[in-house]
Amino acid sequence: MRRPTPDLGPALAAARDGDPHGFAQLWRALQPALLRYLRVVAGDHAEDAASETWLQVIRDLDRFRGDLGAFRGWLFRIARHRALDEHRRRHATPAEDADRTSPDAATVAIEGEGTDWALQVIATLPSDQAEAVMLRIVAGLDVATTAQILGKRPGAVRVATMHGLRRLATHPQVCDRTAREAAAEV
Amino acid sequence: MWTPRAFLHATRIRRTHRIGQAEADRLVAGDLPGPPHAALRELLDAARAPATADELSGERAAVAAFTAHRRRAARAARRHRARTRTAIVAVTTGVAFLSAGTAVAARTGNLPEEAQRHAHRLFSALGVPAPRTGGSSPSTARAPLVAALSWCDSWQGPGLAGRSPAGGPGEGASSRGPSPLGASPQGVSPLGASSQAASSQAALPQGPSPQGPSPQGPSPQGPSSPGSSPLGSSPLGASSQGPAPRDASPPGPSPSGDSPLSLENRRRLVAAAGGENGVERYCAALRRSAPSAPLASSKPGPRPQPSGSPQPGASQSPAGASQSPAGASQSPADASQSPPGVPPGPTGAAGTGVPPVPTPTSAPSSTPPTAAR
Repeated sequence: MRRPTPDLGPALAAARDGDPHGFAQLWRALQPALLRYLRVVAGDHAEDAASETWLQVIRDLDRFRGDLGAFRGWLFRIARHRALDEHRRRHATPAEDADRTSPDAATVAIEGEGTDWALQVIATLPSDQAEAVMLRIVAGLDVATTAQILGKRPGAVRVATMHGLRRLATHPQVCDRTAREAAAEV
Repeated sequence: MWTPRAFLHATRIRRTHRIGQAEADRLVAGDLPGPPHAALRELLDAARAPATADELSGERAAVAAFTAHRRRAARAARRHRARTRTAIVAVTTGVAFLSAGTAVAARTGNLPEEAQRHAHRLFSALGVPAPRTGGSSPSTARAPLVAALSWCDSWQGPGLAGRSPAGGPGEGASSRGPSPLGASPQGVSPLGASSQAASSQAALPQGPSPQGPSPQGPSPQGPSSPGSSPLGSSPLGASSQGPAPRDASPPGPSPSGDSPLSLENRRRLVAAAGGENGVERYCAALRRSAPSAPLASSKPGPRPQPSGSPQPGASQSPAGASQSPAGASQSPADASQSPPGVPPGPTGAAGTGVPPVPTPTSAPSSTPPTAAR
């Protein structure tokens, strides 16, 4: 079940007017999803990409005009661009495949209980499906905003999300987890 | 061999692994997936789990960066506003100085001519003067009037002589004699050589002719002055040719080299007057309406009778002049010796209304160029 998101409209207005408390509220609400998305997209450079994303938001927040939904889309668009920049800067062209290799079973077994396990499994998806799943499910963006961020049509975003969920449902680690849980129940 | 149970099991497994678009949308919306997808549900729940302390560890740094940036932005905005204010003040001051300088220049008439004319057209009510044209403008404006007056003078000059023979017996050719003599007090002169002298005297005042510039004094050339030059146009052949060798002046219409009234100017004058008969009236009206200054300036030499009133007297001289018996008396000078005040004779060329042909003796012949100047 999705957690209800607090009303961040006043916080956004306050942050735009220069109120640090409003900005802190925004940051606390959006930083986890942003960081998780960047972990899927940028891997180990997620922290740097997140910092650069927030710095750009701080720089341009006084010029931003829009509601909270637009702000979320703006934030994740910046994050995606920073992640791509970071990825280009630190890695050569074939590095992307190395990052997207599925973690070994031992690592998954150790970290399987937490969010990291889930993100690592999602990161095994093709990039368009992984981004679509993260933006739609983790960040909670609608189809139109996700399509704008990814530069795709809304239908393509929906299809990518569906294919990503199918893959996750049939993912071996997910199936093993299901089997282990069933055995534990027995 | 597939048993029905095995087949159903296989199809069930296959069906549970497929997630359709609707189910995907429900999963995205947060709905719980069915029992076959419990592991997927756990995965998605873990992915959107509440934030951990590690993920929120950078809050203080982020807020500090936000505060520092806002402080810098506020300082930059203040500087920007100050610069903008300074620039506005500078531009406003410059524009004000420029406007004031332009206004002063326009008020004192020191703008370039076009700009001054424009400013005068716009702000003449505020006292902006018209551009200075070096004083040439008024004279230029008066030039046509002065020229017309000079034509009138030239017209009336020959006109006097032209009419003078009209009273004489059939000596219309003497109409080309000097006209203004009759206006001079010395107009009454004896005939013959003395009449020539008198005619020269009378002709002298007619204008700035080089041969007779002095108005009343004796001409250095004596009878050979242009005043006597029209002798060559005397109707009597012998007598008319008499003075010519004496004066060494050609018998043509312009012995002094100055055309008294060119045909073109004459035509213009006649056209302006509405006909030759109206020239006198036109000239009189012109003299009445014209200020004295242009005329005076147009006639550097003293004129015996600048206005037309004495002229008729001169032109009414024919009796004495044209009736002079001697051949020498046939000179136009004699004609010009006619006493003033004699009523104009309607006979002869003048009587026919034919305007006199300008003769070289008509000292005003030099008037048009002078007046034109």
